[in-house]
Amino acid sequence: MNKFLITLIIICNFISIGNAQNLISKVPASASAIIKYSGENFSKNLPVKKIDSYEFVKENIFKLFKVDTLTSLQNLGVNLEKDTYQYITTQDSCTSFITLLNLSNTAQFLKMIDANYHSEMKPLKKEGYNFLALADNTFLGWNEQEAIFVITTYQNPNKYYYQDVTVDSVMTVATDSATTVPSILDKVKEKKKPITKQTTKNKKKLTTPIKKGKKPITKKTVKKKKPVEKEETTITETAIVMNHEDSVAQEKRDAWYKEKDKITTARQRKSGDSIIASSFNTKIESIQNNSSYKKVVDPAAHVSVWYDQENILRQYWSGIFGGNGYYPVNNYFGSSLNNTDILAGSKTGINIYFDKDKMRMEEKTFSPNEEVTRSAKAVYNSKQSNALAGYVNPDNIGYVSLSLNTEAMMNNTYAVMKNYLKNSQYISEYSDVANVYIDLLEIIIDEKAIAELTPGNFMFVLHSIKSKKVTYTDYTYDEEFKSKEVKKTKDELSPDFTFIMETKKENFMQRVLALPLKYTKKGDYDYKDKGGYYELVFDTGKYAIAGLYFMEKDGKVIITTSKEIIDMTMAGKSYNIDADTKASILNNNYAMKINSQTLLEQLRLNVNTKTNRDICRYLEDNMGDIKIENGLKNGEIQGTTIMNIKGNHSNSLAFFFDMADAINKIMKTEKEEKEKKLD
Amino acid sequence: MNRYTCIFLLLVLLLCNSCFEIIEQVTVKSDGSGSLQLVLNLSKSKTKLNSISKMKTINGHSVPGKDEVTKKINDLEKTIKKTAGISNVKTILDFDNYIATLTCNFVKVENVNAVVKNIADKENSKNKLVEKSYEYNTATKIFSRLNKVSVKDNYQKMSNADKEIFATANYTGIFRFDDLVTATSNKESNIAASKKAVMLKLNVLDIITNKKSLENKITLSR
Repeated sequence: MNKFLITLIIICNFISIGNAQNLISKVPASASAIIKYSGENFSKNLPVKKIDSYEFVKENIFKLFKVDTLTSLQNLGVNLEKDTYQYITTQDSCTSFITLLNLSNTAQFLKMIDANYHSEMKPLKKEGYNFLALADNTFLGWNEQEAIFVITTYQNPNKYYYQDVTVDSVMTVATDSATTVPSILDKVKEKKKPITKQTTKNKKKLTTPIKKGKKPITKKTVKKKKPVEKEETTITETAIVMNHEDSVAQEKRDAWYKEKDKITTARQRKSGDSIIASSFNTKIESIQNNSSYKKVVDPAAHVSVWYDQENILRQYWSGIFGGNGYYPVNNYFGSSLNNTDILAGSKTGINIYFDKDKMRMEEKTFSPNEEVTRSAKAVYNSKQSNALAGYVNPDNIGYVSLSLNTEAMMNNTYAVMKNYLKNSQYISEYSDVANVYIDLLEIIIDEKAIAELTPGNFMFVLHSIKSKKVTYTDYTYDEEFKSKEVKKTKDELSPDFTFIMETKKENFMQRVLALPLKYTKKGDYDYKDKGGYYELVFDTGKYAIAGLYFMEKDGKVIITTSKEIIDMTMAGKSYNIDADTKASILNNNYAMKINSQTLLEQLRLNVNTKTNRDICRYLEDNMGDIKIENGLKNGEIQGTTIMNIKGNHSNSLAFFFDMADAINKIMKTEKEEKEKKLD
Repeated sequence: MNRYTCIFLLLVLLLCNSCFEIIEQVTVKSDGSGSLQLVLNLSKSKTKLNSISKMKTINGHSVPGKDEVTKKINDLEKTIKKTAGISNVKTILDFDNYIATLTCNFVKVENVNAVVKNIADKENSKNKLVEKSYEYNTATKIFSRLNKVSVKDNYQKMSNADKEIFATANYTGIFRFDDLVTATSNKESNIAASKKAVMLKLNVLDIITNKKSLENKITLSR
């Protein structure tokens, strides 16, 4: 069911066209994460007709929606001329994922919903909208213009443990919840717009709401199902003793779990109902006027994601600790969950653009809190060294460069610890004691010394992925099925890589690298001093790599599988990198690049099946390099991810559809060939 | 027993992400006595296992050390030895090639079924269907390999990462007899040239998903 919803949402989002409409006004300011899909920008890149023409869309998406292949996606009943929004919110212990869609044809939309949910349920006519529970946690509300899907999860199903409460109190909770939430089988009491019904054998179609002035829509009906009478479970108030062998206790436990399910269902229903009702009938405080939202969400983007880190973290912990019952979330986090100091209102915005020759993702994170901004500045106050950049060979598969200020990171940790403990429920009372301990820790730990050992510059280079022969034991059988042990070989992918860490404590690191020499016999490993570097040799065929080299030279600690790197370092040389790569590494705190062509070429040579080889070949011809950069700019943490595309595609959005279609065809061909062989 | 040994070792398998093979060899004499050999061959995944053995957890499962695996196998061996009708129990754990072997002799196949039950009891298993894996009727001369356990539901609940380990796993069952084999019920099985052995090779995933069955009724000449 959720697969259906997700696909519907994705499709609607990808084919929405037209001007931005004001569904944003229905996204509350309290939302912790929001995704906006810009209809106008999508339509420029990929018209609906083009999407309809893709074979994989017809074969998979249409099938999923249970619509015939002659139908256009435009006939799903969703208005594709408006923007689409999704957001996450938490209220009354329920975390909900909400999708807001515009409708063009309610009947078509309901027909699709009906086909997919085989609903035995009947929509409830409410004030200004219709409501339908599609599942215990999925609800749909709609009027003539809009539809809202709510997928909600109650976060505290285990708030009470059966042995901690008398069952009567449990029943009360369940009953209370049930009374506040109308039953899904309730009849539509409002009879302003009568609905005529016919009988069918198996399935009852959704009741289409009737437009004013139109004839009532005639729908088939089924015989009313006799309401299922649930047996009442009689449970005494006797304290339940945890005894798994005790069948009575087991019965009670089972009864409790049933009640718990009831509570969960009722809570979720209440939450779904409330969100849908407020969406249609209440003027909410919308995120659209929130300055932090406006600051990072670019109208020119195809997709924009905005999230409030503090809220997300709070929900995450509430989900974990709020859900286990024994330990209310505040026992652990106390008011810290309501305190803005930890993340201090950090907001992140991601804008995704499908340009002609590349897919671009721009990310910005900022906090209005000056202390957090100052701390981020200190941590990002670091620059990658030229020496480490010299290990990047342009012909290699890729690299990851990281440069952060170790001392600032450590100093920041103390502040975070103090803040955390200050706001924890039980410890807050003794926060002065805790602060003394943390200060003592700060005195004992020499951050400057640690920063000298590892100032914060790291580089990882993946040179290549090669095929390596490894042996294994197998069995062969003669005509009498007598087994014979045989040694066979197979190819495995073996990465060739280098990791380099900058250090100012050369002498100390040299001693660390020499230390294993003394214990080779005791430890039963092959570690040798090779004069300027060390070699650890693995048993033949036991690992994917044959061995590792270790070295410390000129303030660099090197761990590598490549002898070439060792020789190059010994000779005091480095690779010549292009200006762009060098600038990317030196001007950013985090830089990553993957040479897709080289990676896919090497993977293709090492994959076994024809299908995988064909897919690799397709990607080689169509996928460009991937590059990620991240650093502190203008007081914000800013990052850019770029995926270049090659080949004949009208733009990068079309590339993704072309790619899915091509891969689908490759797999289909292989399947057909297999079937032919079997015939 | 075989299944329970496998269940434990399958936990070990959850730690690897590649192919493995289970080999079951049962020799049955005319009087119903015989021997059993079970082999779990993880050799094809040994490079990955060597790497994984350095980790504490993988896919959310803790990685058992060699000592832990050895202790578990020793415990199983003790349980098997205590079962009436079972003798000459041996286990071999080859950590270089990642091959585990268990062999034992039995007076009648029901003794092996008893071993399975004992291990199931020890492990507090609620699954009563594991109690019967083999059946041999000396009067009708019919040997049956049974499999009443369905683990399909458990498989469906697994994460995709865990499911992957079964994708290329194989099962080989070899059954030898003093008497000639006249018929087998499982179409996937083959009869040896001498007609004194039956082999069944299946993909483990096909067994788990109930696409193919381990079950085989082998009729011997009277």
